[in-house]
Amino acid sequence: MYKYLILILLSLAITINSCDNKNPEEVKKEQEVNQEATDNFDALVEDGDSQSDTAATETVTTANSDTVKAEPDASSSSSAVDYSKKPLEGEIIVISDLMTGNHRKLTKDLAKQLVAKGEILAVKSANEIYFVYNADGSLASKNLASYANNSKVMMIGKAKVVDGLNVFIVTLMEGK
Amino acid sequence: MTKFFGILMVLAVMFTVVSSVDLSAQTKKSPKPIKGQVVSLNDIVIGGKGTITKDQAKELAEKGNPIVFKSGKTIYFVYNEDGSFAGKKLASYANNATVGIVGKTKKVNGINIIIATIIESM
Repeated sequence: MYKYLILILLSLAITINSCDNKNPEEVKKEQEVNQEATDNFDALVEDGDSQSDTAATETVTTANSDTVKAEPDASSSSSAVDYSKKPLEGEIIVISDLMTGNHRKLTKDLAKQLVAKGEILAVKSANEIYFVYNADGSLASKNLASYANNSKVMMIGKAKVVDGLNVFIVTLMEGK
Repeated sequence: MTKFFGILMVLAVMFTVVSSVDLSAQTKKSPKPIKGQVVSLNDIVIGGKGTITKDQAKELAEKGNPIVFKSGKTIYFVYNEDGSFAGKKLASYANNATVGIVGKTKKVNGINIIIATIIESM
């Protein structure tokens, strides 16, 4: 009798174990989704006064002139944030590095090689990723690659949110 | 009688284990593709819908412009399993009205990424 009881308990243990197998996978998935908070860059904190000045000079500005940072809110896709007076400052990154989690230290040569292979460069500022475009509507990855030796890049232009993505239309770029 | 009862119980439990393992295996093997369209991010940025032909997409991809995948209102950047950007591969499907992608999705810093295992026209 005890023999069978042991067998039943063993089988139950296997069943419970097979049910539990799902949980680590789900946890892993969530961890991957939430891996965004791995790097902390210096936040782009700009004072409200300078933004108010900027807002006054432009016809297309965000409704809330006290905030400077582009809000990655899909609902605000029509609004643009003006960076014509104070530049947006950030680090050049490779989008594929976001996927792998392996953030390579970029050099000008490496960046140029990656762009030649079709990789997309972007700018990370205050934990937001900006896809940088030239005023003619072309992607500015090649221009960005030229500044990859600099620790940061500063850009004058306008930021807007398009279908949930932060886009920066650059008029002037400078290494820092 | 006790022996028979014991064997019956063991068999019942074993059946439960086997069927649960089989079910979980089935769900892993047949993932549903994400359906959408191949679009040009450049066109979307300038206010367009992103619609492009295969030739346009290939030309844009060659110049390093992002060819992306739009499913509903979500834009996905599609990557190959080796970690390379799949813009050029996606360009080949630009003429198809609906494209299905099977793979793993991720959202990093607000950017949706698909690591594609299969890209197919639908």
